[in-house]
Amino acid sequence: MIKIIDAKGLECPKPVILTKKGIEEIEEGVVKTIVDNEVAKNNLSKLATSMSLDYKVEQDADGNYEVSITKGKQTDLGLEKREEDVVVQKSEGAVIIIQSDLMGSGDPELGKILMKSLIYTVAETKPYPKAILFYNAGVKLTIKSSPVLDDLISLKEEGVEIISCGTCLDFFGLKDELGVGEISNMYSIYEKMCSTQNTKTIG
Amino acid sequence: MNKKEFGILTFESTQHAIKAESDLVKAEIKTKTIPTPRDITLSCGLAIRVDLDDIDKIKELYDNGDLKFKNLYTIRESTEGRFLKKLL
Repeated sequence: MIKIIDAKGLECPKPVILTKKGIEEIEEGVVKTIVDNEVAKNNLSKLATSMSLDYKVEQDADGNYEVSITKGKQTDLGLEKREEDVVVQKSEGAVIIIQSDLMGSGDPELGKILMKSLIYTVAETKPYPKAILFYNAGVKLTIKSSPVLDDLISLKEEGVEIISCGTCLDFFGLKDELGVGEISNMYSIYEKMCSTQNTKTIG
Repeated sequence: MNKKEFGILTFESTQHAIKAESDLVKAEIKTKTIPTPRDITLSCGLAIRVDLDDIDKIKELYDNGDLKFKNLYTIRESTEGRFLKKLL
């Protein structure tokens, strides 16, 4: 069998841990890990060497490295893979939590401009997070008159969930002003926060 | 503002960037405050991204002393790469 682990965008040592786990889980076959940087690629080949396993490295059109590590009997790498044997483990996207329309405290005018700059950066940087949560004054960023509305719309088009706290919109009298994403309650906000280890809180 | 060719204004300081943003809004020019692109090094951390269509108006404001900035660039992104051009 061949097991595919998509470890693009994951920080060291996560690709190595996932790959080691993948190898341990199979009796024999190939574990193919896709990573987006050279350091991760080198660490994976070191892992294979340390486990005395054969490996090969390929580079795809996007510059990602595919490290295939063979366990057990010599399989012809990838040639005999059957559709049902392919396991794809997707890399886990981050959940970004925005709790204010200002980034940091100190000066509100600076905070506002930094937040705009941050949201632009999120929209320009891959991999995208899987969700962005907005609560308290953070919801001022998801309304129709938001200075970052276009960035959030383009993130949503890329599949990023944009979730605003309904209680908060209501509190600021902005419930009819939502410009992007969905309104949600505390249950789903908490559920999203707990859905990953990879959360980043900004505000 | 997702066009692949746009203008970038850079500044001596963050205060200048904030001031310029409000001056541009007053002049009804669409702005986007962004981190200064990495290929421009000699400037403060914040820059303002503008539409190419507004460049002439921005030059006019600059010449009249109604707008201050350090440099004006255009950036064009295409499949062949990213091209930075300094206009002012």
